[in-house]
Amino acid sequence: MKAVFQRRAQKKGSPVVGMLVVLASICAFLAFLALVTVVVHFIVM
Amino acid sequence: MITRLHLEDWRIIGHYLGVLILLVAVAMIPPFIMSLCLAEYSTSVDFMLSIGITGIVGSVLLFSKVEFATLDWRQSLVITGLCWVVLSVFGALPLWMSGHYDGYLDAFFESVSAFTTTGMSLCVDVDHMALSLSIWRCVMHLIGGVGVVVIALALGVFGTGSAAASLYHAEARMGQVMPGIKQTSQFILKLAAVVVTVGTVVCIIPLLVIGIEPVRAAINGFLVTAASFSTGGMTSTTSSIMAFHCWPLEVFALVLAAFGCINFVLYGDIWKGVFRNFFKDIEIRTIFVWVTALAALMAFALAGSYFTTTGAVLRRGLFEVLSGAFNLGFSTLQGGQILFAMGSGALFVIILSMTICGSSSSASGGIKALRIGIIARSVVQAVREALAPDRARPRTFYFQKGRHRLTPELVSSAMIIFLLYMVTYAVGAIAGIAYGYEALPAIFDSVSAASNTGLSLGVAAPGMPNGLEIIYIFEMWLGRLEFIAILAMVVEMLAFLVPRHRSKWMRRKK
Repeated sequence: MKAVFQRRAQKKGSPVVGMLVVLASICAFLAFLALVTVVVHFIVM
Repeated sequence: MITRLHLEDWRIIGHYLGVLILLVAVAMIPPFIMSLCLAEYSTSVDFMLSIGITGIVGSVLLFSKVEFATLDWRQSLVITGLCWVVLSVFGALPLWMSGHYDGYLDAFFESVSAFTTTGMSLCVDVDHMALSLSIWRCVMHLIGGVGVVVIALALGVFGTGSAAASLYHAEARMGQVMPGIKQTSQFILKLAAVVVTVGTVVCIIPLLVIGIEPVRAAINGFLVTAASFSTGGMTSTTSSIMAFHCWPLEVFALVLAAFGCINFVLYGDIWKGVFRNFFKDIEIRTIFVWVTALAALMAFALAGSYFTTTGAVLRRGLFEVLSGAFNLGFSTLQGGQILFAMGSGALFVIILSMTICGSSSSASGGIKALRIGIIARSVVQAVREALAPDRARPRTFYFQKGRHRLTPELVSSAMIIFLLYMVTYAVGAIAGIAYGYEALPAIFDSVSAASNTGLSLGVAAPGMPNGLEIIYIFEMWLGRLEFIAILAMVVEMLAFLVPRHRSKWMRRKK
């Protein structure tokens, strides 16, 4: 069990994967903001 | 008690400032080479002269202290505080020589605006300015966005001891990615290089699609990328990013600005493929909540304006709010359109978006999401203490690369900086009103300058009064270094200049 925890603690991913996750998060956030803006715009109009 | 700086200290400070000035001379070389490649020969001569003058002054200062000397924390503070202004003095030289500015003060304002990644411009006729000069402005953006001192630390100029740590923190950088300051600085530099390279390639594609010829597409792709990631906002056109009429480019610019607004320390974990810290980070969550609220407010505020279609609300309204919130400074509207077509409610939302901006230790300015998150948590703490039984001591925590307890000292520090920003915004606004500008544009431009955003309603424009220019220069400088380094530097300089007063006892003894 200890060995499993140690292997998990040492697990490292790829920088490309890391940056792609951030990019996907930012794009998802911008899409979410656009959705919020459109929804509020339609409610107000 | 304030320990005074002596002449020996100033010689050491002069030596290290000389090193930084020589770095600026080296940074001028790529735009100089581009000016030769683009056949902008008169600008090449301007760059040659500027490199020569900068190199000579830097070399003279370098030899003010020939023997090796390590920095102490007071010298580090003064170097950090002074270097941003000193480097702007030399960064302004090619701009002033170009003839596109009404005097050296305007060129100096532009240089400070570029280094502090503000993006306000006093250039006359940007559209006809040499492309190599636009490249130089964006190089200054990148140097300022990554950090002048960070670049110098990455190159090992200041060593790796406690002085390096003092310099790093005096430039408003908190936290380390790697065990050493030098390795952290090198990581930040490497990250910026990767993002700018990939971003330039991506930005070239929509420019080619809309019909711009390949060389100009490549240069403008670099300019948009550098201005976006560094959250500077200067481009080669008067109309900002709107001149390209290309919505994919506007989206790419927002994505790059968002990259620039993330704490560089978080990228250390992201680089290793560990995402847990990113999604749990207090600043990321604060930005998510705050920007979502701003987007909703903007949509509400635009209800009674000229922008009634969905496309206009997104491309004009949401873009302007995100440009303010991400500290970008790009605009899809002219200054006059923002003022008259949007309405005061929408303007108020944009002002709100500019006050806070991105994360600490990022390329962005403003009060920073960390301080707002801490202040919000302190409100939660206060409510919990009020509701808890007398003997209970509720503890509140926040997450930033680990779980940390919210302490009164942390809250106090956040409140002090918040207050200093508010005072700076107010002073700049009052100065603008005193010079005869309307209240809303004066407040808007003052907040934009102090938060290093760069959006303008026309106060920061060619023909601006010299006194107001100087006030805005101070605002940009104070905002970039978050006050404490500059205030400490001013106190040290005053202590050096003011004669020591003898006590009454000493006078009687004589």
